[in-house]
Amino acid sequence: MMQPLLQVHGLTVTFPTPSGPVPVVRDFSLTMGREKIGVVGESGSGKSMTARAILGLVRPPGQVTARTLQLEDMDLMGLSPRGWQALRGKKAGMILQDPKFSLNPIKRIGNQIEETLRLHEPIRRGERRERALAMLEAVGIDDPVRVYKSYPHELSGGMGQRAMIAMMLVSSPNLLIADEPTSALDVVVREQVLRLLDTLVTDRGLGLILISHDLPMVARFCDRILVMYRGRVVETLDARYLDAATHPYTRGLLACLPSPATRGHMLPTLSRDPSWEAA
Amino acid sequence: MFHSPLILVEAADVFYGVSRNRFQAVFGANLAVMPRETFGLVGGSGSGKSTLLRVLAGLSPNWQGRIMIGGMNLEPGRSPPRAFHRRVQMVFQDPYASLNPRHTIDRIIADGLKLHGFTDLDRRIAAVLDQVGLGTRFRYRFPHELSGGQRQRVAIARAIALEPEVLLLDEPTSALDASVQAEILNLLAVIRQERSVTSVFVSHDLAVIAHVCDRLAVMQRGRIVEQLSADDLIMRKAGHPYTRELITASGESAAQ
Repeated sequence: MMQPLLQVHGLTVTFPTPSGPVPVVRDFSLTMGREKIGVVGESGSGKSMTARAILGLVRPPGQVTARTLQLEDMDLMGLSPRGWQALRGKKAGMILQDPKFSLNPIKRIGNQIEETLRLHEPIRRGERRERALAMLEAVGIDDPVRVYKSYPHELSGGMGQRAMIAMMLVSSPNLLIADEPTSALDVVVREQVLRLLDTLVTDRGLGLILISHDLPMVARFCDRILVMYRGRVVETLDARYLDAATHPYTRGLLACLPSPATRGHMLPTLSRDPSWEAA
Repeated sequence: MFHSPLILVEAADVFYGVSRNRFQAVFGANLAVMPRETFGLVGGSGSGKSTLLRVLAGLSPNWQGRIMIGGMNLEPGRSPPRAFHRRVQMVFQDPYASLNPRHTIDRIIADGLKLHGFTDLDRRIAAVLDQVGLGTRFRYRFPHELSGGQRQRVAIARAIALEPEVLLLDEPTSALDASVQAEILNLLAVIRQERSVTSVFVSHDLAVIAHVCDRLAVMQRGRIVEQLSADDLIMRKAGHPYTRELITASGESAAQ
């Protein structure tokens, strides 16, 4: 049997408060191969914090514990800060919501893409440039040379997000985590960026964790879906059978969406049951 | 008079900046919104939909053309009189940015009422908080003590307290979670039933527009490229290629 790409068991993230430590992620487990996993939940559900914990990005005073946190054959639990740095960018990358905030505003796009290579691969300058340009072309940018020379503010939202994806993929990581990668984009561009991600992930055989609040979008795009509520996974679904969701929270999330069918009617609202938190 | 529009926009151009730095954001917009109608403005980022809404709210005087709202003509280059703002109220996208963080909910609503010469403030504030589903226990709280959905309810309460004829809504639910969005859309539906109010609803989300609007205009790069009824949208009877592209991109959620 092939080794899983990522194994997480019992991942918990807590933050201290005056009234004791508060868990924001509770007992999260996931074993995944080179597939597309969706993590869905509302604000405060712990979905982003889970992603940060998997990549060692939870800052003190946040505390991460897990029974297993393993990427391929590498145990991540004992990793030093230096070890994490070597891992991020090289083996695992993360795409954030808004390229305006995640790209360095005072560096040209080309330099930012090459920086990843410079940190992780001993190759010559000319080759770095070629790889960066090829990557910009691969993310569907028509004029890679112009974008290579541009600063982030000179790019549209969709272009910026493509550049971000190029930066994350240039060193050929095996795992990509995308945290709301399209929610700052408008509908048409959102669809283009999603299709691009889909093609890249499939062609390169990556594992992808897509984090979003948008359940129907994630269902169209992913293989499996984890639904999180107040720090806990309450349901795991096959994305093809969204209608088969049984947890009242998942069903509530689906029911409250407006659509042509709800026209002229009141939308169902969620009445939250305290028992959902107990799991 | 029954069939005359409450909001009429004719050949409106909207600009940012002046002389050489002038940028035209909206080109020759024509709109007619009937009394009590909910009219949608849809488009991608940079399409000019929010810009046009700000002009209708009297917040941005840099435009030319003709705009009439409720029998009052807006004048280009001038801020409208105070009475205009009582009759035309706006709710913004971000409930975190649109409420003064140093004022209590009571003061946020009272300020508008006082400015427009309302009396009987105490009763009015209690009634409006009740109507938006907050109740009086929130009355002396500050915005930071409220969730996003509760803050948006305050913003709606502040607007409807002035009993406006026109409500302008700029993506009022796009910063909110789906379950909270449902609650706010329901609240807006109740307000429509109970009050004689005409609305313009800006959104990038076709599913939301199809749920709440009677008719809509689709904007692309500063131009209104198509106007259609919500029924046409649902039946996918769109004429313009950009509208069809929007419908396709919205996928399953916008049309079945």
